[in-house]
Amino acid sequence: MRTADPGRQVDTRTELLSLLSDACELEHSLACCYLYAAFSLKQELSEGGIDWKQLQQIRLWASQLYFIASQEMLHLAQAWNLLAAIGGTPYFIRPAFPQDNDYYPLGLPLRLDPFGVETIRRFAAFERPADQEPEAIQALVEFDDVSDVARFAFNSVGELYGLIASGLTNIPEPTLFLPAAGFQITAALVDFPALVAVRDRESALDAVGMITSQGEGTPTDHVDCHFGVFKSIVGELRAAQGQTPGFAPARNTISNPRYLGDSHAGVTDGSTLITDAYTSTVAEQLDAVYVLMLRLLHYVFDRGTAQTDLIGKFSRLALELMVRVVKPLGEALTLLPAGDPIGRTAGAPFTVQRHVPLPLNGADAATIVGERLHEIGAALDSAGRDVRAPDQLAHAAANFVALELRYRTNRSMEQ
Amino acid sequence: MPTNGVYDAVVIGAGVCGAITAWRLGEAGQSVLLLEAGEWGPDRVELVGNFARAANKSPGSPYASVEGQQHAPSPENSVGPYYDQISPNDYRSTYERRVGGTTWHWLGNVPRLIPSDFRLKSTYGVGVDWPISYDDLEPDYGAAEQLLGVSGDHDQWDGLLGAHRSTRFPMTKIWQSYSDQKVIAWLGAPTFEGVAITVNSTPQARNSQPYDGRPPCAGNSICVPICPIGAKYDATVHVKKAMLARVPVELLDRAVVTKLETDASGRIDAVVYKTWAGEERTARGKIVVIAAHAIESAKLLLMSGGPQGLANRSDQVGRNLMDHLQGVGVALTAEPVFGFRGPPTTSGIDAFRDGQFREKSAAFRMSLGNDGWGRKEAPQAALDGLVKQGRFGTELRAQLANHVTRQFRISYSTETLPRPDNRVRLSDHLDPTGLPRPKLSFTLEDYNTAAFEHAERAMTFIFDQIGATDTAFDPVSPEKYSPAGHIMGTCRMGRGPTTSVVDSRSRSHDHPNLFIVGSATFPTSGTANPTLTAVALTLRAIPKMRRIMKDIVT
Amino acid sequence: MDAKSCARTTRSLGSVERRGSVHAGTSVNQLFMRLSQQLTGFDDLSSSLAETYLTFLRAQPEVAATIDDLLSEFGLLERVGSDLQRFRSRIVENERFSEAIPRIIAIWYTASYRSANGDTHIVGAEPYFQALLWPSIRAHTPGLSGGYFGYWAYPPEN
Repeated sequence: MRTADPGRQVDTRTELLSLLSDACELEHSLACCYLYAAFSLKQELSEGGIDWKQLQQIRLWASQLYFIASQEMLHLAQAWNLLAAIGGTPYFIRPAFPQDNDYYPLGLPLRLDPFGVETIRRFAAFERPADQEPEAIQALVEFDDVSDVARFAFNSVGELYGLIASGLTNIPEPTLFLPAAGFQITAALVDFPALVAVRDRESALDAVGMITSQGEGTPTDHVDCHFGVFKSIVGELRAAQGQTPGFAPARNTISNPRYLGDSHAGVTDGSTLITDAYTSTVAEQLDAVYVLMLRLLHYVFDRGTAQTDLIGKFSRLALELMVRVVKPLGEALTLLPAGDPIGRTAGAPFTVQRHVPLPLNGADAATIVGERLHEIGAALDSAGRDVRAPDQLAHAAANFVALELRYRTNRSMEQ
Repeated sequence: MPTNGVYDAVVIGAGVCGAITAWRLGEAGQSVLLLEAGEWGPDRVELVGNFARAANKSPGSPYASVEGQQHAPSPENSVGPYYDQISPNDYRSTYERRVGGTTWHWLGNVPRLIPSDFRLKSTYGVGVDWPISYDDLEPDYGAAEQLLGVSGDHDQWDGLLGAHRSTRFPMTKIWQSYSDQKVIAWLGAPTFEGVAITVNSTPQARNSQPYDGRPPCAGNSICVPICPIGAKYDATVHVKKAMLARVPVELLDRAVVTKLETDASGRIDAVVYKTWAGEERTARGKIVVIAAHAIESAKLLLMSGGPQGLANRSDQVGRNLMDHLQGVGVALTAEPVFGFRGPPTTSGIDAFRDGQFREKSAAFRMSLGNDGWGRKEAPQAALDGLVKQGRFGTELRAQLANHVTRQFRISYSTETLPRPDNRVRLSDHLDPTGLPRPKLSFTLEDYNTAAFEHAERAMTFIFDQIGATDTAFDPVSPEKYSPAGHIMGTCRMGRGPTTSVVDSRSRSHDHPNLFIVGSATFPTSGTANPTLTAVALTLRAIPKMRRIMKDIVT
Repeated sequence: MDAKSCARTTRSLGSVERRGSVHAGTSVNQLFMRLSQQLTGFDDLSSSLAETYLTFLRAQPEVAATIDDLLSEFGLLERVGSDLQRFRSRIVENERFSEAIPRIIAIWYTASYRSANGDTHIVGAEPYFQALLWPSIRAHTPGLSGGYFGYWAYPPEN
């Protein structure tokens, strides 16, 4: 295993909290990257350039990317449970895309790019098994040059979890797991049957094991994991391109879109401003829904607010926002013009901006959520009725309006 | 490589039980010839194309093959009828003859049998007891679930109906559909005729995560007739593994076995087969494993040896043919349940799989549908109806959606009892290759008719409980039941050579080197979809096969 | 009908009217497209599929003789300005087109064609995967993934 500091061990709570926060940031960012690539894939034969057999393949790739993205969300949730168990709070901040190579010790650029060979290879490199040498990875994922792997391979997600596991092992159990920090979110609340409730060292290490085995696999199986799936997608994509030169499974989508102006805090070099006014509004609405979803999940996982009834409701709402609004909106953006450059389409910016956690008081939190749903609903509804709206946008808007209505009706029945 | 032209094993049939047998033996270092009457056929994606272009999207629709009709005809792929039916209640279940067998179009539901299924005679006074108990088979069930890749909810199923589980499912459950969740919420926890009704997630040989190099289910929603992405297990998984085993298995497709020959000591000495090219050949194995599914396995034994056939001292070969006779109830829910998304069923009701009523009336397992009204009425029929009424445009769209998104069905599968006169024999009518077609007789019993009534009462109660309207039930009369595609019996296992064909390790009582694996060996049918039990019984047989092989010197 | 369908329906009618009023395109294929939009309730039909279907229909004995008559009647109606009532009486309920209308609707919704003898034929795999029936009921064409593992646990996104 290649590491910056192979013998590094973690033995303080502070270090462990910091590493788990790193992990949250990373899992969260990876989920966005994977979603972005999935959003960019063509969905219908009417989009042109593909036949039904290619559409079969493309829909399979999309389902695999969505599955892996959902496991990253599970890993984020798992990291939140780990944080809660040792005296942390759910961590959801992350920098805007693209992130520099040296922002993380990974030496990997975290970028929002459409689906393609380079993109999926980078995904494979993120999740590369810590027990494999660069040469082996190069051969497996068909990198052109071993230096591509070496550049990526300085550290891996797996190695980060190795450090976390060392902290969980080294710090004495009674010290690490605080008696009052027992509040854990379980599978029933968040549709993640594999989510581990962390109560002690054993369950904490189980949780870390679950994350790494899903990501990089196990020493005997590097197939049924994120790395293995990305590796097979690269092979399938190259074969399909060999068979049909010019095969373009993805839409002509830009990388790292933003709708905020240059002067805005948090805007990073290398992002591309969406200049089409309508598309820009839609992008802003996607981010608004995304942030609301994060606020809801933060509330759910914050151990200070253990009101089962409310967190069940918030959790359900967040999940439905993800699958019925963010997903179709993200897809819609890759069908809408970015403006400059002409001919390219936009994508989901995934900006975390001006985020304010919901207040601890349940009634106040519910009021703010209702208010926000109403504001976003009005904007989305008008965007969805626009003649330029792709089907996906019209659906997302209608779904959002229905969710808002359901929320409002339930609230007024309770009062 | 076979020694002196004798393989360690000749396996007949490249379906799930044959493929797993061949793979396991190959991995153990044995030389294996795997013979399959049908063909590999085109790639999966081509089969999906056949499905798309088929007007009638029947289970066999992707697999129709002009050549196959000529050389390995089957009830799903033959010119004219393949079965020669001689009783008023036709036997209706069918199968595929091709590499991978009928698992190509199975649904993939894999509940286990329950302990009382193994003791039907001693508990309820009907049918027969198995020579083994649930506990005997339990470890093999666990191993079978690993091999097929089963997604299930361990906590829900451990101990259900008395069936303990010593291992967890290899994957967490297939998520229950939106429709299931709505129905569960509307249903509550009612009691019907003293039985508490709960809805369980159905264990399925369908991936809920990447498993064994295959992707998670992506909800293509056509498990029957074909999973386009291989997320549902089919036997090609183990055929491919077999061909890459430590000693690679030799697969010979397009090879129709026509008879087995014995030597003076009663051992199976030769497997005679005919290639599609018309060449007659012989293969020899220390052991011979028949894994050709219940109808072809029995037919092969009857075609071999004298007038009585082989392995038939008991006169039980071909008898006790079983199926799970099905009915369905349909209704419209008050709110949309949005079917046609995801696997056709993800939940079921297991409460009627056991009870004192089994003395008089069959047990049954219920499935909650996720596909509108299923086979009762396709959405195309709803469309036709609306168009006939003059609907068009946005009004047509809205009315179609309003109707079809509220369609809900419950199906049930009743157990059949073994009957000596429900049987496979050789017909005087020949198939195009000159082999006898299967002659089938099948009688519907009051035991099942009573169960249809029982199930209809239960469904009426459930529909009422969930506030559904516009209910209708099939069969409208008992003889119009539907088949389940669960072909069982014909070579039952048992304790003695006078009453059964094979022992509890699937070895013929009459021929020491002959094994018959698969659902053919089931003494009774229970209410579980048969494949998992067939695989568990196969796994139970394999150590015995290896012991026998070791004892034979060529 | 839920909020989503309402939003889409409003939009559909709006855009059909817009197109009608400017007489966009007069080629036979475009005429067939607009007729099909009115019959199916979908305003975003594929033009290549329209071509496939029109060619297919012209070759079928049940409709070959009337399809051109139908298209010219529809064209006439467009020129004088149509509403739903007139469209219904002069096209949908017109005896002359009673063989053609249900078949045009069916071909778009199910990619299938039923002959007078009852035989049903699927036009092809590409059309099958674009059949309108499935989005109408907020599902997806059977055989094509509806998205990702577990989507079926949620209400539809489409």
